[in-house]
Amino acid sequence: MFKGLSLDQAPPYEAPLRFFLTAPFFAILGGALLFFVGYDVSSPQVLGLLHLFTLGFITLVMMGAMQQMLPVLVGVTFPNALFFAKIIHVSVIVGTLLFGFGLFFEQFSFLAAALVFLLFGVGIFSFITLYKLLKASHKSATVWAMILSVVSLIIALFLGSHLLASLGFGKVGESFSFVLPSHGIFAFFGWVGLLIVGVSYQVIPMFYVTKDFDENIKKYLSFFIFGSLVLSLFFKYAIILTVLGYIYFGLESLKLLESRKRKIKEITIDFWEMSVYSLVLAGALFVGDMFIGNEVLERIYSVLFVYGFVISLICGMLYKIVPFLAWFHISSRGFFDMPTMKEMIDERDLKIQFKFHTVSVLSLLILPKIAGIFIIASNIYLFLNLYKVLKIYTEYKAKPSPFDSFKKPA
Amino acid sequence: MKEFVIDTREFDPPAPMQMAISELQNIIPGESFLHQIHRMEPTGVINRLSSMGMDFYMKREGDDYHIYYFYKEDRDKVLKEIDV
Repeated sequence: MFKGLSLDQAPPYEAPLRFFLTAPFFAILGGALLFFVGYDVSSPQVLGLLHLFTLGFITLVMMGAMQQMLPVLVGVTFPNALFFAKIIHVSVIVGTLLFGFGLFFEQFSFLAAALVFLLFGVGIFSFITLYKLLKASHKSATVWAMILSVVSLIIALFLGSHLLASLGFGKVGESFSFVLPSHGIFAFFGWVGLLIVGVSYQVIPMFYVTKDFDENIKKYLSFFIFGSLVLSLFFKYAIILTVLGYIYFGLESLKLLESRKRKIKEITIDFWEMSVYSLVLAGALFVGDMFIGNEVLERIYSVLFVYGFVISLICGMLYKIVPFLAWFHISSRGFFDMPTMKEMIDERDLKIQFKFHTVSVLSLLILPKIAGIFIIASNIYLFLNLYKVLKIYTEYKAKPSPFDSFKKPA
Repeated sequence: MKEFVIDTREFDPPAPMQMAISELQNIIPGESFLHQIHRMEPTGVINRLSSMGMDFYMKREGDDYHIYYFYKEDRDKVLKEIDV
């Protein structure tokens, strides 16, 4: 018999939202260090700064997105979702701050504590998520991409822990220089990249009402990327295949967006375009650098990969996901007078953030110190834009649900 | 078996899921099944089916997905009906 119709399978809104709303603060902190302190390119400061963005911004958002999508895509929920989210959230925040400050200000004693928090937070998150994903009865292309992404995260976590322990205990051995690029490759092209691929399979056709990705892309691309990553451990040029895989994915996603039937111009599409152009350019420079070995090229493609490709895409996705979730949670409580997704954040505010973001990417390539100020402005705007949605959600949450008036008296 | 058809290809989220779930209420074991035409895999609906005692069959034709929802005991009957 028909047993259930409820739309309450999603986790509490507060679970993913705490990750989404904290992320901009790490970028603001990174921007402030860039602008007010500056850094020495040849010191561990660069790694400290980089991780404020990769762990503090990117990974926090990715973890929030994963908690949101898992119940819907896989049909399973995290045990005690809000408590689980709080534990992971606090651990990753404390670990990242200790890590970032430890390396930036060369307080290496902070790193051992950072290691404990990050191993705990990221470790629990990744193993529970992987277990839940493997249990999925219907393994769609998104689920497979997520599985490979989380496996990459676990690999990156263990390799990163080795690096962090080496620095924290002052025992940097020969293995350091071998482990460092492998950690970076699995963290970036594995954890971050594959999750983007998997989430895009859902987000693009769903939110932009486009056709679905080609069946062969969905079937094989994630495995191709992950396989080439593993191969690159033994044969370094295999990473070129990984990059080509991503470029192909990026161009296909643009093709889908351009073929959408409703040609309404949206800022989120500008973010997406900027992301793909950065990816293509970064990919080309990365491949070129493998044969040339030039420090300037390295700096340019690193900025384009991290800030141009990933952070642009995250901003665009957040502006779709956060209002949608608010709308979803409010409407499933029986309210139908709330603002539409488009009304929740004024398009003009999105445009301002997009401009600050664009200038951040460009200035990071030329004058990183000046970029700091634009990164701060861009992320303050990002936070304020997302906060507006939270305010609307909170107002409706405080009201009694219209459904309550239909309940029979006890 | 009576076939109910919904075309959700042009609808913004979460309308496709709401429409499919709403229509599933009208399905009667042994008598009817639901046929959804959509632009992507409706994972949100698919993952709710098991707890509803239901099952599905999905095929992709060009850009469209055709998803058939039915009660588990009707699987053979529905697949025969749609020539699988």
